[in-house]
Amino acid sequence: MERTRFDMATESPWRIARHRFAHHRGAMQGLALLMAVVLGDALVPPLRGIVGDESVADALQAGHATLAFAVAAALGGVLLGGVWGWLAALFGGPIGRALMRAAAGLAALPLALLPVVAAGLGGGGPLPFDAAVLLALVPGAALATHGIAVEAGRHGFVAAAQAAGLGRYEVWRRHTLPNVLGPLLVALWPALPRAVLVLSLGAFLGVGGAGTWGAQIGAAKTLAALLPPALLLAATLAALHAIGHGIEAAFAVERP
Amino acid sequence: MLSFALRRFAAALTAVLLLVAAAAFGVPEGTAALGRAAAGLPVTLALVGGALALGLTLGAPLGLAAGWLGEGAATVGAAVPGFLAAALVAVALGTRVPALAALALAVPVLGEAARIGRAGVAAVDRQGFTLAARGRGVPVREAFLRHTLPAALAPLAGALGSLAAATVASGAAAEALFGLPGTGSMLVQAARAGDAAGTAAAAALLAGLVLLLRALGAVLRGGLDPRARLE
Repeated sequence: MERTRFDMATESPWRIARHRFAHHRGAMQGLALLMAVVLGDALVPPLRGIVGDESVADALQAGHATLAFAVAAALGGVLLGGVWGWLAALFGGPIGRALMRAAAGLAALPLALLPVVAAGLGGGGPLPFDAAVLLALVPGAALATHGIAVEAGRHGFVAAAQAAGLGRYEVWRRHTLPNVLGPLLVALWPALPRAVLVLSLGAFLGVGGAGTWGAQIGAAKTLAALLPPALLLAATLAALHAIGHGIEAAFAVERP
Repeated sequence: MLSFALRRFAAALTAVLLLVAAAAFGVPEGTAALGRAAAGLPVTLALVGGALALGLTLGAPLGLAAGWLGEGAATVGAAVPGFLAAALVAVALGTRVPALAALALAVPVLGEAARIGRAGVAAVDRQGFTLAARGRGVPVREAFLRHTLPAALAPLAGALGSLAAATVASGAAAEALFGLPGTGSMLVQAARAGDAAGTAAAAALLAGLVLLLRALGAVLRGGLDPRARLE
């Protein structure tokens, strides 16, 4: 049943966002595609029996390694970047400006190559590579979080809640946090496709990320070996971007 | 405008010099490695410049003119990163022609340029100054060329830095794949061999190239949209 403007006005923002997301065709297709990639792992044992070539089964299995690594790196990067951006907004003034100038300066660099640089400077091993994938996401997350945190402080309802005598924590819990979660989700979601991209590039170049799609693409010498991981990587990136568009539509945020 | 351009390039050059000095003196044998890495810069510049020029030239009109076609190009651009396109081209065609590497790297640039161009036209439409110009009797063609086009292209110029960063990163993979003697392939070889001096030198030069292209994009944006000079 179609919702009227009155229905929308009386519902919570989160219910409206969920409704908009569920009615975003691209986001639903992306979600279905992503689920298919994730659940495709269940097809591996029968596939190995049916198809002589192992590349499809191997690529499906590598999907789990790629996505698990990317999700962990994105969460870590978003957390560190979030703290950085939030601290800059909290301090404000010269300290806040210096923190954000550093984030902007780092974000201007080709950070997708950071895992390669870390492998060269760190002397190999998985630790520098893994840490570099995470760190490559931090400046972008810091910039995104800072913008939202600064914007949240300017809302009139925050001033009204303070004027009503609510404590700092209560204002934050009851007013600021619920209103910034949506925009934060929109701004930080791109960290996930970016993590997939940075990991895949580093693995493709053979400096880490063994057993992921990037490593399989880098090692492929024939089209038959290249296509399964390449198509799965492209489908996953397309799905993640489509879900991102759905989240933007859900919270009615326009892209620049 | 001139002082704005000089300020942007001076800031970028200062950052480049700091990066190069850190690579030269912060690592043993850094100066020699820097000389070797600099020898590959023309190859990298040709590859990255060619891919950016091709992608922007094809992608911007696509985004400005065609709605669904621009959206389709943007989806392909987001789903197929440059290194993946380069790997597909190299394995499918079985050749290592450098022009094909530039063509492959142009795919994501084209997609992103189409997306930004499309969003730029939509943003200009919402602001209404083209409509105001039409209301003053300015012909459609002149209103488009003088008002809509510069304002719609300004965000694209502003995105040159991020497009350059992505293309340089994928370009390193393409150089290694196609066997091109560029700074990117030197970075990959040095990283695989654990050569700290080579890695630092190549990374500093690639980062410097991106910073200069970013400054160029900011200056172009300032020329197209005077409001950008105030930021």
